[in-house]
Amino acid sequence: MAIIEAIATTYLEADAASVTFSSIPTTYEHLQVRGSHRTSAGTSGQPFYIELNATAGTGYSSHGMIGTDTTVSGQPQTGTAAIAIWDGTHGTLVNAADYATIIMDVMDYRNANKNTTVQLFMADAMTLSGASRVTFASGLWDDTAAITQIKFTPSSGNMVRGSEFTLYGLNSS
Amino acid sequence: MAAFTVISAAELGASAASFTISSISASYDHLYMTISARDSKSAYYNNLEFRFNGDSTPYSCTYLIAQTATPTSSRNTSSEIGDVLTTMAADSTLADTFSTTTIWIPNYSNTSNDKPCLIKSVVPNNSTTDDQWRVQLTAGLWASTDAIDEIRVKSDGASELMQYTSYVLYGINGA
Repeated sequence: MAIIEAIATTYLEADAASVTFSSIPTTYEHLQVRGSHRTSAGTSGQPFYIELNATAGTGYSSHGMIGTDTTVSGQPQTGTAAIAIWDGTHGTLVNAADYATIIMDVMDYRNANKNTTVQLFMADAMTLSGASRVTFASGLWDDTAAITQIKFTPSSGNMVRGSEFTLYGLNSS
Repeated sequence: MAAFTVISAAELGASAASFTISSISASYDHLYMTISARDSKSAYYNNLEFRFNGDSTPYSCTYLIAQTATPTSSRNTSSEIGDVLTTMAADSTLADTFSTTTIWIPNYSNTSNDKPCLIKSVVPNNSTTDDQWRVQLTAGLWASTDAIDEIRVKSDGASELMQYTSYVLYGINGA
């Protein structure tokens, strides 16, 4: 058995409001998502939302360390309806060929003794002065349920054609 | 040959001050470790220590940390620390919440070079209050040319790693 297995890949052939991985098997130790995405909204940077198990509510938090051109900042959020990453994607004010990127690690995603914690490493709007971002962040869902669904949604507009996400499973034996 | 191999994996059945992975084979190119940890200290975070081959010297670390709206960078040298340090959630954070850490140790068995490592850690919490959350990047160094064959992971001070703290150590091969 391979230690890292590709569970699913979604490549958008047409614009879509969101990308969802469903029916995630509970046979791995960790999950990882690698994605490339941009939106149809008339924005530079814009929030990017990650919802787990189709559950909204207020049980999410996120905390980020963000580099914006020559400025660095910390960004805490709690009580949100999804893991919310400030300027985690971008729209049409950025060069058309530039996509934001995300690497998200979800450790112990099926451990019933632990809330879900994710690590996020993101890059965004790299060619746009004043809006380029590099982000290292945490996401928290205050729930110990096994993760069976992950949904990625931009705050406005659709994710455009060419956006792509792959979900990997990491084994521990 | 598989690129990734699981060397060791475990979850603590009860709190413990530390755990140690010994007799690490030198047959891989790199090591990669994931750790999900929570500390018993009455605080929002505590140091998580990595010690290689039982050696308490010489280590140095450079940190990039956000725990307020203004991130900071700092450094410890070998006269100040006896381990590579990162951060983990402690017992004042939201119940059932564990920090996550990944550590890359490239060329861990190369006997010509010192041993650098790159660590990414997050301390999540349901709070936006300063110093009740943390994200941290650590550039660590064990200034030794010895091959790493043992890793001890420990809580800083008298506190313990809480039950359900877990890890996976992977060996990574090149082509």
